[in-house]
Amino acid sequence: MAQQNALEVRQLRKQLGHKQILKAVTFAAVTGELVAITGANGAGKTTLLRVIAGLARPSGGEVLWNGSSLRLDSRQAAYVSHQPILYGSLTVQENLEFFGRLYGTADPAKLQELLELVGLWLYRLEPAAVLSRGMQQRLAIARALIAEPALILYDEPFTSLDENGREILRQVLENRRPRAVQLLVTHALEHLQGLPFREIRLEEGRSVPKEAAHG
Amino acid sequence: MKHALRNPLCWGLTLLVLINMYVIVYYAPVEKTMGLVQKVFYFHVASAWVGLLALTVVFGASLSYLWKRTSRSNHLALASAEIGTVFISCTLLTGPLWAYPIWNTWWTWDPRLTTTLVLWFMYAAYIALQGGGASEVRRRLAAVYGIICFVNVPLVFFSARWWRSIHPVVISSQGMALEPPMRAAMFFSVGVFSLLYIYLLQLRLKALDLEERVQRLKAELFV
Amino acid sequence: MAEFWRRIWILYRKDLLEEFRSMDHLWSTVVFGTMLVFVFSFAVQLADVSTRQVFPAVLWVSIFFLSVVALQRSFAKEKESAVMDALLLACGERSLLFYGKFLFSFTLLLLLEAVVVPLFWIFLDVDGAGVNLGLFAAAVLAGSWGLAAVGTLLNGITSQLPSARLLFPILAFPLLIPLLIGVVLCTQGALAGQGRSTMGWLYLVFVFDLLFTILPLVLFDYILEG
Repeated sequence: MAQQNALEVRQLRKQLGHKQILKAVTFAAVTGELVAITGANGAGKTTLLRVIAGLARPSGGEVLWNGSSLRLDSRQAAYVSHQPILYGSLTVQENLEFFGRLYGTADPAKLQELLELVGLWLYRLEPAAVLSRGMQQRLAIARALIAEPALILYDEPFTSLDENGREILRQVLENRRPRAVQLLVTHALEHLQGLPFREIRLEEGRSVPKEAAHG
Repeated sequence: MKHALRNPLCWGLTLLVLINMYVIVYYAPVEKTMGLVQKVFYFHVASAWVGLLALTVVFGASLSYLWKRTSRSNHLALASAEIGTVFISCTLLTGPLWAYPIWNTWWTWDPRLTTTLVLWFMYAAYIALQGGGASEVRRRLAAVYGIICFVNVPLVFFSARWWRSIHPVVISSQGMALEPPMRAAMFFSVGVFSLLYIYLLQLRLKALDLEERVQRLKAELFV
Repeated sequence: MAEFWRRIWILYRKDLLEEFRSMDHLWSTVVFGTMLVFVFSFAVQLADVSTRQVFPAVLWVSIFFLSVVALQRSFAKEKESAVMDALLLACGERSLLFYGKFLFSFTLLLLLEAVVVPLFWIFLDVDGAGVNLGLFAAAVLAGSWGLAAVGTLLNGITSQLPSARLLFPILAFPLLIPLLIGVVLCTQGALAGQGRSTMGWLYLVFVFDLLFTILPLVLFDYILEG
């Protein structure tokens, strides 16, 4: 039985330079939930994810994980960005191994399973730089899943994926549901077709929950 | 200009500076061996002390910034660095002015002078890093750098001193006979220069604050 | 605690793997190093100065310039592909990144010096009689340690700023003065065969190294905050 975790974001503010990107963001999510974060360009969606992940410091408000505001332990949170975040000169397998070892889980069988899950097992000895954007994105997803994170943050993950890749991601989202809190920033809610999710819209830096039982 | 004329601190400071000039030129006795040129020493030492004081302020403000992240701390550090550079430049310029007529060399690797030179480069690098001081990233990084610099200064001073102790340099302020009136004049100069520093700091802080307010208003308008 | 060292080792190995996979950067830095040797030796010869006397100064100035070039790449890969985010999440503790990168930079510097130092020895015609080799080696090692530490620390800073190529040497120079004084005088003493009296300078370098190895433990969190 997976542990039940609760993420709570309270009155989060973030100022970058002279601009208040996030003004008052408040919401909560628990294990088993998939929360879609939508909003116009520049509304602060990426900033919100980065602050929650601990990659940026909030200017005010707090992010609570199971009630305490300690910075998330590195093994608890994973981040899938829309940029390729890999080491180009290392092979697919080496990239995964490196991050796996950092997280303390480099079991070869497990890595193989992950690579097969995202359809990259055949390409495991290719340098990451020669992969297409879509394949790099799939590798990034595999990398995020290595440590069985309890909180997964996706920043426009569907952007560079083809139909095959999108299907893989949908499977991952559904597969991870019972074990993680998943936050997903996206422009295109149609990609989440078939999956139950809750929507929170960011407008002018404030969170607006949308009554929705999509899926 | 009008604002300055109305400011009592400005008047008071002007008076003090004039008194300081008098003290240096007339009150302090002419040094035995060095003559009139020695009087540059009062400017030289006072500027150097303020230069060091300014770095201490940068250090304190940087710590405060890393802790509290207020604009104020950052502005204080930046303003202090800018003004510190000015005073350090004075020190570096008055050094040769004093050294050449007396010892016939432009530059002496006197440990204090060497440290002052390094201080100049630290300030310059710090200001370059701040890059205007608007970006939160730059402010944070500059604060870290400010702290590193301050911690490094004792190392710089002592290494320069030990170096000079094995190649003793005849040129140093030890060669001067400091009678009590001269000591008094020196302390008075240091005091006046410090007040000048504080005044300039205030002016610069106000300017930086205003600039920030304008930027913030602009950002809100053009969204 | 063991976990800390284990992760540093993983980071270190990854950097080595990357660097040796495409040797072109390493190669061009070695070439740059030999160029420095040549230019300095040539200039010194033209000036008809006692080469043994200028050896410490010339050697260390070259190593300083070499390190500016070689160490600029510390965080380059991470900057290029925005991997930093993933790395930060995987590490948690920011100072891990410092120590991993530091070890890598230190190794790199030692490799470069293995080429450059003997070359200088030869070109500046330093005769080995009466030289305290142990002390000389210690000076090179300790000096490189300090350079790698300061270099990694400052690269952490400049890696956050997009257009900061010239900024690194500007930031480094004032900080490295005590190190420069220490290693040059220590090398000088080693060349003259002095042992005891030169140890003081080596201790100065040790203190410098210690400071810049411990300081990042606290400060690196603030540098890589984001």
